[in-house]
Amino acid sequence: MKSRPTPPLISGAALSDRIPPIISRMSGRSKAPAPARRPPRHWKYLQPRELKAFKNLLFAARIVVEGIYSGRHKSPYRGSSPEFVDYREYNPGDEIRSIDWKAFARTDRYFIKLFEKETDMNCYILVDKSASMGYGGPAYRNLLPAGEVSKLDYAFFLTAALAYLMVKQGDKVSVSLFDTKLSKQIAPGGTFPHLYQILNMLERQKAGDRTSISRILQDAYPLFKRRGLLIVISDFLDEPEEIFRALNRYRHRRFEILLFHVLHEYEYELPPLDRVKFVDAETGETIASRPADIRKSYNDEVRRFVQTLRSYARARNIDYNLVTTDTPYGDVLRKYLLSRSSR
Amino acid sequence: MQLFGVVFTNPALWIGALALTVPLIVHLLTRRSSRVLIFPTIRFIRKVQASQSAIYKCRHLLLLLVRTVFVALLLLAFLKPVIENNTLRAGDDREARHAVIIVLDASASMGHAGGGFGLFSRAKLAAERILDELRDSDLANLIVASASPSASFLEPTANRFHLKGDVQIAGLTQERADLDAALAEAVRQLSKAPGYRKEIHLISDFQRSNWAPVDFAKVPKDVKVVFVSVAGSETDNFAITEVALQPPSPARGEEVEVLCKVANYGRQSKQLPLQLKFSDQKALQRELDVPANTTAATSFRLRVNQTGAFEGELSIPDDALAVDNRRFFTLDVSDRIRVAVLSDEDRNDPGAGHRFLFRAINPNPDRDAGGFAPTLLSSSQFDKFAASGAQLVIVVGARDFPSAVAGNLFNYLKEGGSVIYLLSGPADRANLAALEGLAGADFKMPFRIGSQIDHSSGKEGQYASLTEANFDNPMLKSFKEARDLAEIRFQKYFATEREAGQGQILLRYDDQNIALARKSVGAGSLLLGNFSPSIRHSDLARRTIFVPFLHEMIKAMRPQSGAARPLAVGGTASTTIKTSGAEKDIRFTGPSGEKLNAMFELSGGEAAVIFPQTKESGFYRVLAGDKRLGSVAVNVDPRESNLESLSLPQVQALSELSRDRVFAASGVDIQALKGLREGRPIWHYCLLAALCLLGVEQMLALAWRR
Repeated sequence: MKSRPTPPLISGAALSDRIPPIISRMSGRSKAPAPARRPPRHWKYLQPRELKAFKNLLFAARIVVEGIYSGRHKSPYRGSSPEFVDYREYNPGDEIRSIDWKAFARTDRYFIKLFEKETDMNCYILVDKSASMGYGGPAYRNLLPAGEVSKLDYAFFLTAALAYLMVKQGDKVSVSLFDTKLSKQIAPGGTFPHLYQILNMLERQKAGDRTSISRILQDAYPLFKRRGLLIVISDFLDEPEEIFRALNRYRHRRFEILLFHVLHEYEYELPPLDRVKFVDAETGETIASRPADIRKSYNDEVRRFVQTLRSYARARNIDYNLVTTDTPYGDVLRKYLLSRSSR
Repeated sequence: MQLFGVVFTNPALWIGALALTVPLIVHLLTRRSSRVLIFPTIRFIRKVQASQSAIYKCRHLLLLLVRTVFVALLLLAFLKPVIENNTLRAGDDREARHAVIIVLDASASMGHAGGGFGLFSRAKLAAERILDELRDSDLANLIVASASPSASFLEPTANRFHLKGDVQIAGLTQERADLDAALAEAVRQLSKAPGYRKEIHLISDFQRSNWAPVDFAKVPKDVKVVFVSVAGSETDNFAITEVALQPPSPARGEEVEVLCKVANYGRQSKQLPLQLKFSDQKALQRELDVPANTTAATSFRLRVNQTGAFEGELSIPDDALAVDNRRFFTLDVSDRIRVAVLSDEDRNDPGAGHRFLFRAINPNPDRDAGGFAPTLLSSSQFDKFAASGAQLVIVVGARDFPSAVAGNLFNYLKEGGSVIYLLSGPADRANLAALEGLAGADFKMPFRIGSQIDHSSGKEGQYASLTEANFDNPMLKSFKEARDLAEIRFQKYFATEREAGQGQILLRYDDQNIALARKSVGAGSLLLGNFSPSIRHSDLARRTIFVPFLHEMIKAMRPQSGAARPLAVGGTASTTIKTSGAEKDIRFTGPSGEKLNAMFELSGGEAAVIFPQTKESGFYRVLAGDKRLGSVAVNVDPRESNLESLSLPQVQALSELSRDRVFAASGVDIQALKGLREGRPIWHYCLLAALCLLGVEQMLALAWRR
C-alpha cells in the first residue's frame, strides 16, 4: 500500500466524544455532516478503553463484497461513476485528496467523500444466546472467582466490538440473536445510531433456551440478502457436521465466514471440585460425577471436539477462533485482526 | 477370646469394631452429598463417564476396601492378637497348669565351643528361659543327662528359684549321656503330677550318634515333647578316637606298636602334629595328614626294657572340643607272657596232656625273659584274677565247668582274651554248649561235636592224620613246606559236623572231620582243637613239630589289639594290681590327683580295683605311698567326637511321635522359646500392615487424581 502523509492525530477521547452524526445517503447532494447526537457515556458492552484500543484496527474483507457505497472494499462492479453519495470519517490510510476540506473547516474533523465506486461490506453477526451460553458470570459467584463474565456477556462484548469496528470503517453490520429460533434481529446498518441500537439491544438480553445452531443457520440464510461477512459467535454445542453442512450454503454464496467458539475456562477444563451433580443448562438432564475422577478424560474429549471443529473449518477456508472467557476479548480481537491483515 | 488359633489378649477393645463402619458411612455420605452445578452441556461428561464408570466404581470400592481393612488392622493391633496355634498352651483354658521336665544334655559333645560360645552355656540359658516362661501354678524339674542322669528334685516342684540355681551350677561332663535313662526318668517324674498338662523339654545338640537310637515309645501319649536345639553350625572337630597296643601285654624287651587313629570331622583336610608321651621317655612326634571326613591311622614303635605298668598319652593340638584331643593308655610289661593252662587231668598222670603242654609252652624255664610263663590251674581256679593275669588260656582235659568258671571264661573271651580249647573228653561238649549259651542264641561254634572216634580200639596202626590245612593262615604258614603236620598220628578225636558260616576251619583229618578251627567271641578269639597232646590221644607230643606248632598257635592267638575294651568316662573302671604287701597304705586318685573312693578286693598278692564312677578322662591310679601300684586309663567315648547333629525335623521324625505332641525350637532364639509357650504376638505386624495400607491408599488416590 502506498504510504500516505499521516493526518493529524485525533486522540481517542476526542474521537469517542466526537462520534460523527449519522450521515444520510442522499443522491447527488452533498450535505455537510450534521453534528453527531451524543450517545450515553457508558455502554455495558463497549467501554471507552476498548474503543481506544480498537481505533487503529480495520476489518478488511477478504472477499469481493457487494455494496452500495464506495467504501474501502473492492466492488464487483466495474466502471467509474464518481457520483458523490456520502461522507464518512477519515481513517488512516485513506487518500488525502479524498478529504473534504470544506467539511473540515466546518466541523474541524476529517471526512472523506464516498463515491459509488467504493462499496461497503455487510457484516452479519449471529450470536448464540441459548441457555448454555449463560454459564459463568455473577450467577456463579459461589463457584467462580469474582469478576468472571458469562459466556453470553463475553459474546456480547465481542459482538459490540465487532459492530463498532464495522461501523467505524463504514461497513454495515447486522446483529441477530438466537436460541430456539432467531429471536432478535437488527438489520444491517452502518451508522452510529445503528450501533447504539445494537448495543441497546444487547444490554437487554438474557440467556435463553436450548438451540440448534445448524437449524438457525439454515433459517437465517434467506435473511442475508447480500453476501458479506458472516460472524457466528457461539459455543457450538451441536454436531459439527450439521453445523458445517449449514454453513456450506453460505460458502456457496461466497460469504466470508468467521467463527468465534466461546467456551468458559471451566468448560474447557473441568473445575477442581469433588462430587458434583451436573445439570445440563439446555436439556435439564443431570448426571452425578466426580470431576477429579474424569477430569483428564473430559478435557481430552473437549479438545477432540474443538479439534474437530477446527479441522472442519480449516478444510472449508473458514476462520475459526477458540476463545475462553478468561482471555480478554480485546486481545482476542486484536490478535485475530492483526493475523488477518498479515495474510 | 480365640479365633482361628489367634488369641486376643485385649478383648475389651472389641467395641472398637464399630469403627469399621466409619469408612462405609463416609463413603455413602460422600456419594449422596454433591453440589448441584448447572453446566453448559453434560454430553461430554456423560460420554466420558459411560466409558469409565466401571473403572471408577472399582476404584472407589477398592479405596473403600483399603480404608476398611486399614481400620480393621488398627483394631486388631489394639486387640493385641497372639498366635497360639502350635504352642504349648494351644487349646488350653486359662486355668490349665503345666508340669515341665527339662532334660539338659551334659554329654561331652556339649562342650564344643565353636563360635566362641559353648553349647552347654546356650543350653543353660535356654533352660532358664523355659523356667521363666512358666506360671506360678506350673511345676517343673531339671534332669541333667549324663552317663547317670540325675534330677534336681524327686518330683516336679514349684520351687523355680532352686531349679534356676541348679541350672546355673549344672556342670558339663566328659561322659556320654544315657538319654534313654534320662527320658525314662522324665516320664517317671511326670507320672507324679496328675492333673497337669505334661511336657518334656529336651535341650541338646541332638548329636546323631547319641539321639538316633533313643526310644521315644516309652513317652506316654499325654506328654508333649519339645526339642530345643542348641547345636551350632560349626561341627568341625579333630579327635583321637582309638589307641591300640600290639601286643597289648608285651614281654620285657619286646617291641610294641602303638596304633593311633585320628578322625577329622570337618570339611577341610589338615596336617596335625601327633605327640606320644610314654612314661618318662622323651615325647615322640609325628605329622599326620588327615583328609576331610576321614580317619587317619599311624603308629609309634616302642621297646620297653623294664617290667611294670606304664602310662602313655597321645595328643593333638586342642580345638573347639578339647576333651577328645588326647587319649590315655596303660601298658603292662612283664617278664614273660603269661599263659594259663586249665586242666582237670590227674597231675600225676605221666601221659596227661597238660604235662606235655606245659613243657612245650616253655621248653627253657631257666630263661629269664622273652619266653612264655605257663601257670597250671584247675578249671575251678579260673577266676577273674587268674583271667586278668593271663594273656592266653589253654584248656585241655577239663571237666564240666561250673557256671562261674564258664562265665569267667566267657567274659575273658568277650573282653578280648584268647583261648585255645583242646577237646579231649566228654565234658568238652557240655563246656562248649555252656559257652554258646552265654554268648546268646545267635552264637554257634565252628563245628558240632559228635561221638568220639577212637582208633586205638581198632586195628593196630589205625590212626587219622591231617590232610587238609589252610596254609594261608599265619598260624600254619611256616609248616607248609615241611609237611610235618601230616606225619602226626591221631588216635582219639571227635566226629564233627560243620556249622556253616561259623568261624574258620584251619585243619581237617583225612576222614574230613575238623581238626582245628577258629572263632571270634566278643573282642576275643577261640581256637578249637579237636585233638589232645595226651599220649593216649595222639603222638603229637612226641613229634618235634609239637613245640613250634604250639608256639605258633600261641603267637597267633595272642590278642592283637587291646586286651580289654576301652574304658569310657562315666562308666566304671577296673584293674588288677599286685599289692606287694602294701595293702594298708593303698589310696586311689583321679586324673586331677584328687582322692577317690574305689572298691578293692584282695586275693593273694593281687587285688582287683574298681573305680565306680569316672568323671573325667585320664589315669585313675592305685598308690601305695608314693609308689604307683597300678593305673587304668579312661577316655572320652569316641562317639562324642562326631558332632554331626540331627536337624529338628529329623529328630522329630525319628521320635515317631505324632505331630500334635511334638514341638521344636532353636535354643539360640530366645524369642522362639517364648513364643513356643505363650504364642507369637502379632500386633506389630497388624500395625505395620495398617501403615502400609495407609501408604497404598495415599498412592492410589494420588495416582488416580493424576
